[in-house]
Amino acid sequence: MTKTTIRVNRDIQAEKRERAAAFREKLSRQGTLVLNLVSSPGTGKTALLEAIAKELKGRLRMGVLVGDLATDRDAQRLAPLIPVEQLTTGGACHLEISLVEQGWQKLGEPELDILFIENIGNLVCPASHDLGEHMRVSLLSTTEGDDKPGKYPKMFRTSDALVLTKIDLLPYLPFRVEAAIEDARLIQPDLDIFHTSAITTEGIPDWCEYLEQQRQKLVASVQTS
Amino acid sequence: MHEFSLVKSLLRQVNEIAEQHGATCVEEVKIEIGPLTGVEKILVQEAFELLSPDLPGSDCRLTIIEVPLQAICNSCGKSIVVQNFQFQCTACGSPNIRITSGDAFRLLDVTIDTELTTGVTEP
Repeated sequence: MTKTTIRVNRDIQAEKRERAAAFREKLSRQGTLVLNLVSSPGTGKTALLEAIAKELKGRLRMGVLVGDLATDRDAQRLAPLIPVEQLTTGGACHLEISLVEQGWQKLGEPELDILFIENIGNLVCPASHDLGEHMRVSLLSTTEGDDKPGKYPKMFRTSDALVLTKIDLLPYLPFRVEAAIEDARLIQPDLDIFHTSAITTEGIPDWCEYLEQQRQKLVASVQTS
Repeated sequence: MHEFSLVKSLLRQVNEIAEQHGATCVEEVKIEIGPLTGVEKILVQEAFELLSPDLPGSDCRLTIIEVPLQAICNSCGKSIVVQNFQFQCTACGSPNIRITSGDAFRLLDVTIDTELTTGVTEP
Protein backbone atom coordinates (compact mmCIF):
# COMPACT_ATOMS: atom_id res chain seq x y z
CA MET A 1 0.00 0.00 0.00
CA THR A 2 1.45 3.38 -1.06
CA LYS A 3 0.22 6.85 -0.34
CA THR A 4 0.11 9.15 -3.39
CA THR A 5 -0.83 12.80 -3.64
CA ILE A 6 -2.26 13.82 -6.98
CA ARG A 7 -2.06 17.52 -7.81
CA VAL A 8 -5.21 18.73 -9.55
CA ASN A 9 -5.41 22.50 -8.92
CA ARG A 10 -8.55 23.05 -11.01
CA ASP A 11 -11.77 25.00 -10.55
CA ILE A 12 -14.39 22.34 -9.83
CA GLN A 13 -16.81 24.21 -12.08
CA ALA A 14 -14.37 24.20 -15.01
CA GLU A 15 -16.37 21.61 -16.96
CA LYS A 16 -19.66 23.47 -16.45
CA ARG A 17 -17.99 26.74 -17.43
CA GLU A 18 -16.77 25.12 -20.64
CA ARG A 19 -20.31 23.92 -21.42
CA ALA A 20 -21.62 27.42 -20.69
CA ALA A 21 -18.96 28.93 -22.96
CA ALA A 22 -19.93 26.51 -25.75
CA PHE A 23 -23.61 27.49 -25.38
CA ARG A 24 -22.67 31.19 -25.48
CA GLU A 25 -20.55 30.59 -28.58
CA LYS A 26 -23.36 28.65 -30.32
CA LEU A 27 -25.90 31.40 -29.67
CA SER A 28 -23.40 34.11 -30.63
CA ARG A 29 -22.99 32.51 -34.06
CA GLN A 30 -26.73 32.68 -34.68
CA GLY A 31 -26.88 36.27 -33.43
CA THR A 32 -28.82 35.58 -30.23
CA LEU A 33 -27.94 37.76 -27.25
CA VAL A 34 -28.39 35.81 -24.00
CA LEU A 35 -29.29 37.66 -20.81
CA ASN A 36 -29.32 36.15 -17.32
CA LEU A 37 -31.76 38.10 -15.12
CA VAL A 38 -30.99 37.78 -11.40
CA SER A 39 -32.61 39.33 -8.32
CA SER A 40 -34.37 38.66 -5.04
CA PRO A 41 -37.84 37.07 -5.25
CA GLY A 42 -40.45 39.70 -6.01
CA THR A 43 -38.13 42.31 -7.51
CA GLY A 44 -40.09 42.22 -10.74
CA LYS A 45 -38.14 40.06 -13.19
CA THR A 46 -41.30 38.74 -14.82
CA ALA A 47 -42.93 42.19 -14.79
CA LEU A 48 -39.84 43.63 -16.50
CA LEU A 49 -40.01 40.88 -19.13
CA GLU A 50 -43.69 41.65 -19.74
CA ALA A 51 -42.82 45.32 -20.22
CA ILE A 52 -39.91 44.47 -22.55
CA ALA A 53 -42.06 42.08 -24.59
CA LYS A 54 -44.68 44.82 -25.12
CA GLU A 55 -42.11 47.52 -25.89
CA LEU A 56 -40.03 45.47 -28.35
CA LYS A 57 -42.95 43.64 -30.02
CA GLY A 58 -42.34 43.53 -33.76
CA ARG A 59 -38.81 44.95 -33.34
CA LEU A 60 -36.92 41.97 -31.92
CA ARG A 61 -37.52 38.23 -31.86
CA MET A 62 -37.38 37.18 -28.21
CA GLY A 63 -37.76 34.08 -26.06
CA VAL A 64 -37.65 33.33 -22.34
CA LEU A 65 -36.47 30.46 -20.16
CA VAL A 66 -37.95 31.04 -16.74
CA GLY A 67 -36.79 29.23 -13.61
CA ASP A 68 -38.78 28.63 -10.46
CA LEU A 69 -38.74 26.08 -7.65
CA ALA A 70 -42.37 25.19 -8.29
CA THR A 71 -45.36 26.05 -10.49
CA ASP A 72 -45.44 27.38 -14.05
CA ARG A 73 -47.07 30.67 -13.05
CA ASP A 74 -44.38 32.84 -14.63
CA ALA A 75 -44.54 30.92 -17.91
CA GLN A 76 -48.35 31.29 -17.93
CA ARG A 77 -48.00 35.03 -17.40
CA LEU A 78 -45.46 35.43 -20.20
CA ALA A 79 -46.90 32.96 -22.73
CA PRO A 80 -49.43 35.39 -24.29
CA LEU A 81 -46.58 37.84 -24.98
CA ILE A 82 -43.46 35.85 -25.79
CA PRO A 83 -42.33 32.25 -26.48
CA VAL A 84 -41.47 30.80 -23.06
CA GLU A 85 -40.32 27.57 -21.47
CA GLN A 86 -40.64 27.01 -17.71
CA LEU A 87 -37.68 25.42 -15.93
CA THR A 88 -38.88 23.94 -12.64
CA THR A 89 -35.97 23.07 -10.38
CA GLY A 90 -37.95 21.22 -7.72
CA GLY A 91 -36.03 22.90 -4.92
CA ALA A 92 -32.67 23.88 -6.37
CA CYS A 93 -31.84 27.47 -5.49
CA HIS A 94 -30.29 28.42 -8.84
CA LEU A 95 -30.27 27.45 -12.52
CA GLU A 96 -27.34 25.59 -14.07
CA ILE A 97 -26.18 25.26 -17.66
CA SER A 98 -27.66 21.73 -17.99
CA LEU A 99 -31.17 23.10 -17.26
CA VAL A 100 -30.65 25.93 -19.72
CA GLU A 101 -29.53 23.51 -22.44
CA GLN A 102 -32.64 21.37 -21.84
CA GLY A 103 -34.93 24.41 -21.80
CA TRP A 104 -33.41 25.74 -25.01
CA GLN A 105 -34.12 22.38 -26.71
CA LYS A 106 -37.70 22.34 -25.42
CA LEU A 107 -38.18 25.87 -26.71
CA GLY A 108 -37.30 24.40 -30.11
CA GLU A 109 -34.00 26.28 -30.55
CA PRO A 110 -35.73 29.10 -32.45
CA GLU A 111 -33.94 31.90 -34.28
CA LEU A 112 -34.03 34.72 -31.77
CA ASP A 113 -32.45 38.13 -31.33
CA ILE A 114 -32.56 37.91 -27.52
CA LEU A 115 -32.96 34.95 -25.19
CA PHE A 116 -33.82 35.97 -21.61
CA ILE A 117 -33.09 33.56 -18.78
CA GLU A 118 -35.09 34.48 -15.70
CA ASN A 119 -33.11 32.94 -12.85
CA ILE A 120 -34.47 31.72 -9.50
CA GLY A 121 -35.21 34.65 -7.18
CA ASN A 122 -32.08 34.56 -5.01
CA LEU A 123 -29.17 36.99 -4.65
CA VAL A 124 -26.71 34.33 -3.49
CA CYS A 125 -26.35 31.05 -5.38
CA PRO A 126 -27.11 32.18 -8.97
CA ALA A 127 -24.01 34.41 -8.76
CA SER A 128 -21.76 31.34 -8.89
CA HIS A 129 -23.21 29.74 -12.03
CA ASP A 130 -22.42 30.68 -15.62
CA LEU A 131 -25.52 29.95 -17.74
CA GLY A 132 -23.88 30.76 -21.05
CA GLU A 133 -25.12 34.35 -20.93
CA HIS A 134 -23.49 37.30 -22.68
CA MET A 135 -24.71 39.65 -19.97
CA ARG A 136 -25.78 39.25 -16.38
CA VAL A 137 -28.43 41.75 -15.36
CA SER A 138 -29.15 42.38 -11.67
CA LEU A 139 -32.51 43.84 -10.72
CA LEU A 140 -32.98 45.78 -7.50
CA SER A 141 -36.39 47.05 -6.43
CA THR A 142 -37.05 50.18 -4.41
CA THR A 143 -39.01 48.08 -1.87
CA GLU A 144 -35.96 45.93 -1.04
CA GLY A 145 -33.80 48.71 0.37
CA ASP A 146 -30.78 50.56 -0.96
CA ASP A 147 -28.23 48.56 1.06
CA LYS A 148 -28.46 45.35 -0.96
CA PRO A 149 -25.42 45.65 -3.29
CA GLY A 150 -22.92 45.71 -0.41
CA LYS A 151 -24.68 42.80 1.29
CA TYR A 152 -24.54 40.58 -1.80
CA PRO A 153 -21.21 41.57 -3.36
CA LYS A 154 -20.71 38.55 -5.59
CA MET A 155 -23.99 39.05 -7.42
CA PHE A 156 -23.34 42.70 -8.19
CA ARG A 157 -19.63 42.16 -8.89
CA THR A 158 -20.48 39.61 -11.58
CA SER A 159 -23.21 41.74 -13.20
CA ASP A 160 -22.92 43.87 -16.32
CA ALA A 161 -26.05 45.93 -15.83
CA LEU A 162 -28.26 46.98 -12.92
CA VAL A 163 -31.95 47.69 -13.41
CA LEU A 164 -33.68 49.54 -10.58
CA THR A 165 -37.34 48.50 -10.57
CA LYS A 166 -40.55 49.92 -9.05
CA ILE A 167 -39.26 53.50 -9.21
CA ASP A 168 -42.90 54.67 -9.32
CA LEU A 169 -42.96 53.84 -5.58
CA LEU A 170 -40.04 56.13 -4.68
CA PRO A 171 -42.26 58.91 -3.24
CA TYR A 172 -43.58 56.46 -0.62
CA LEU A 173 -40.31 54.74 0.37
CA PRO A 174 -37.07 55.65 2.20
CA PHE A 175 -35.05 54.11 -0.69
CA ARG A 176 -32.12 56.42 -1.59
CA VAL A 177 -31.34 55.94 -5.28
CA GLU A 178 -27.92 57.63 -5.10
CA ALA A 179 -26.85 55.52 -2.08
CA ALA A 180 -27.83 52.31 -3.87
CA ILE A 181 -25.92 53.30 -7.00
CA GLU A 182 -22.86 54.38 -5.04
CA ASP A 183 -22.89 51.08 -3.15
CA ALA A 184 -23.22 49.10 -6.39
CA ARG A 185 -20.47 51.05 -8.18
CA LEU A 186 -18.02 50.42 -5.32
CA ILE A 187 -18.43 46.74 -6.10
CA GLN A 188 -18.70 46.97 -9.89
CA PRO A 189 -17.73 50.37 -11.37
CA ASP A 190 -18.62 49.28 -14.93
CA LEU A 191 -22.33 48.64 -14.26
CA ASP A 192 -24.73 50.15 -16.78
CA ILE A 193 -27.61 51.40 -14.64
CA PHE A 194 -31.28 51.90 -15.58
CA HIS A 195 -34.25 53.25 -13.63
CA THR A 196 -37.55 51.59 -14.49
CA SER A 197 -41.14 51.03 -13.58
CA ALA A 198 -42.94 48.18 -15.31
CA ILE A 199 -46.29 49.67 -14.23
CA THR A 200 -45.87 53.23 -15.52
CA THR A 201 -43.31 52.05 -18.19
CA GLU A 202 -40.99 54.89 -17.15
CA GLY A 203 -37.44 54.03 -18.23
CA ILE A 204 -38.55 50.99 -20.23
CA PRO A 205 -37.88 52.57 -23.67
CA ASP A 206 -34.30 53.51 -22.63
CA TRP A 207 -33.66 50.05 -21.27
CA CYS A 208 -35.04 48.43 -24.45
CA GLU A 209 -32.95 50.70 -26.65
CA TYR A 210 -29.90 49.57 -24.67
CA LEU A 211 -30.89 45.93 -25.28
CA GLU A 212 -31.14 46.57 -29.03
CA GLN A 213 -27.68 48.20 -28.97
CA GLN A 214 -26.18 45.28 -27.06
CA ARG A 215 -27.67 42.87 -29.56
CA GLN A 216 -26.27 44.91 -32.49
CA LYS A 217 -22.85 44.92 -30.79
CA LEU A 218 -22.95 41.15 -30.50
CA VAL A 219 -23.87 40.73 -34.19
CA ALA A 220 -21.11 43.16 -35.21
CA SER A 221 -18.51 41.37 -33.09
CA VAL A 222 -19.48 37.98 -34.55
CA GLN A 223 -19.25 39.35 -38.11
CA THR A 224 -15.77 40.83 -37.55
CA SER A 225 -14.45 37.66 -35.95
CA MET B 1 -27.61 26.25 -0.12
CA HIS B 2 -25.78 25.35 -3.30
CA GLU B 3 -22.85 23.94 -1.29
CA PHE B 4 -24.49 20.52 -1.62
CA SER B 5 -24.46 20.56 -5.42
CA LEU B 6 -20.90 21.93 -5.50
CA VAL B 7 -19.66 19.22 -3.14
CA LYS B 8 -21.45 16.59 -5.25
CA SER B 9 -19.60 17.91 -8.26
CA LEU B 10 -16.32 17.89 -6.29
CA LEU B 11 -16.81 14.27 -5.22
CA ARG B 12 -17.63 13.16 -8.75
CA GLN B 13 -14.29 14.58 -9.87
CA VAL B 14 -12.45 13.02 -6.91
CA ASN B 15 -14.04 9.66 -7.73
CA GLU B 16 -12.88 9.89 -11.35
CA ILE B 17 -9.32 10.65 -10.21
CA ALA B 18 -9.42 7.81 -7.66
CA GLU B 19 -10.60 5.41 -10.36
CA GLN B 20 -7.98 6.55 -12.90
CA HIS B 21 -5.23 5.93 -10.36
CA GLY B 22 -6.58 2.66 -9.01
CA ALA B 23 -7.10 4.02 -5.50
CA THR B 24 -8.09 1.62 -2.78
CA CYS B 25 -8.78 4.51 -0.41
CA VAL B 26 -9.10 8.30 -0.68
CA GLU B 27 -7.38 9.69 2.41
CA GLU B 28 -7.60 13.41 1.90
CA VAL B 29 -9.19 15.95 -0.41
CA LYS B 30 -7.74 19.45 -0.31
CA ILE B 31 -9.75 22.39 -1.66
CA GLU B 32 -9.35 26.14 -1.88
CA ILE B 33 -12.11 28.69 -1.31
CA GLY B 34 -12.13 32.45 -0.83
CA PRO B 35 -14.38 35.34 0.15
CA LEU B 36 -15.94 35.57 -3.33
CA THR B 37 -16.40 31.82 -3.88
CA GLY B 38 -19.95 32.22 -2.62
CA VAL B 39 -19.87 29.26 -0.23
CA GLU B 40 -19.93 28.90 3.53
CA LYS B 41 -17.05 26.79 4.88
CA ILE B 42 -19.15 25.05 7.56
CA LEU B 43 -21.82 24.06 5.01
CA VAL B 44 -19.14 22.71 2.64
CA GLN B 45 -17.73 20.63 5.50
CA GLU B 46 -21.19 19.32 6.41
CA ALA B 47 -22.06 18.44 2.83
CA PHE B 48 -18.71 16.65 2.50
CA GLU B 49 -19.29 14.61 5.67
CA LEU B 50 -22.70 13.60 4.38
CA LEU B 51 -21.58 12.64 0.87
CA SER B 52 -17.99 11.43 1.21
CA PRO B 53 -18.73 7.93 2.61
CA ASP B 54 -19.32 6.99 -1.05
CA LEU B 55 -15.60 7.44 -1.75
CA PRO B 56 -13.27 4.42 -1.70
CA GLY B 57 -12.08 3.76 1.86
CA SER B 58 -15.07 5.67 3.27
CA ASP B 59 -13.07 7.72 5.79
CA CYS B 60 -11.86 10.70 3.81
CA ARG B 61 -10.59 13.95 5.33
CA LEU B 62 -11.45 17.33 3.81
CA THR B 63 -8.88 20.10 4.17
CA ILE B 64 -10.15 23.58 3.32
CA ILE B 65 -7.55 26.23 2.49
CA GLU B 66 -9.04 29.72 2.77
CA VAL B 67 -7.29 32.29 0.60
CA PRO B 68 -7.82 36.06 0.63
CA LEU B 69 -9.45 37.90 -2.24
CA GLN B 70 -6.48 39.01 -4.34
CA ALA B 71 -6.35 41.20 -7.40
CA ILE B 72 -3.98 42.96 -9.76
CA CYS B 73 -4.53 46.63 -10.45
CA ASN B 74 -4.84 47.27 -14.18
CA SER B 75 -3.82 50.91 -13.63
CA CYS B 76 -0.67 50.69 -11.48
CA GLY B 77 0.13 46.99 -11.77
CA LYS B 78 0.30 46.33 -8.01
CA SER B 79 -0.90 43.09 -6.44
CA ILE B 80 -3.46 43.88 -3.77
CA VAL B 81 -5.75 42.16 -1.26
CA VAL B 82 -9.39 43.26 -1.53
CA GLN B 83 -10.73 43.93 1.97
CA ASN B 84 -14.42 44.15 2.86
CA PHE B 85 -15.40 43.85 -0.82
CA GLN B 86 -14.08 47.34 -1.56
CA PHE B 87 -13.14 46.72 -5.15
CA GLN B 88 -10.50 49.37 -5.65
CA CYS B 89 -6.72 49.44 -5.64
CA THR B 90 -5.34 50.04 -2.14
CA ALA B 91 -2.25 51.65 -3.70
CA CYS B 92 -3.62 54.05 -6.34
CA GLY B 93 -7.39 54.00 -5.72
CA SER B 94 -8.28 52.80 -9.22
CA PRO B 95 -11.45 50.70 -9.47
CA ASN B 96 -9.97 48.95 -12.51
CA ILE B 97 -8.75 45.75 -10.88
CA ARG B 98 -8.73 42.10 -11.95
CA ILE B 99 -9.47 39.37 -9.39
CA THR B 100 -6.73 36.72 -9.40
CA SER B 101 -7.75 34.46 -6.50
CA GLY B 102 -10.36 34.03 -3.81
CA ASP B 103 -13.35 33.78 -6.15
CA ALA B 104 -13.18 30.10 -7.12
CA PHE B 105 -13.83 26.67 -5.62
CA ARG B 106 -10.67 24.79 -6.52
CA LEU B 107 -9.79 21.16 -6.07
CA LEU B 108 -6.09 21.29 -5.12
CA ASP B 109 -4.90 17.78 -4.19
CA VAL B 110 -6.27 14.31 -3.75
CA THR B 111 -4.29 11.93 -1.53
CA ILE B 112 -4.99 8.26 -2.16
CA ASP B 113 -3.72 4.86 -1.21
CA THR B 114 -2.77 2.60 -4.10
CA GLU B 115 -1.11 -0.77 -4.60
CA LEU B 116 1.32 0.46 -7.25
CA THR B 117 2.43 4.07 -7.66
CA THR B 118 4.65 6.16 -5.39
CA GLY B 119 5.37 9.80 -4.72
CA VAL B 120 3.73 12.88 -6.17
CA THR B 121 2.28 12.57 -9.66
CA GLU B 122 0.58 14.89 -12.09
CA PRO B 123 -2.97 13.89 -13.12
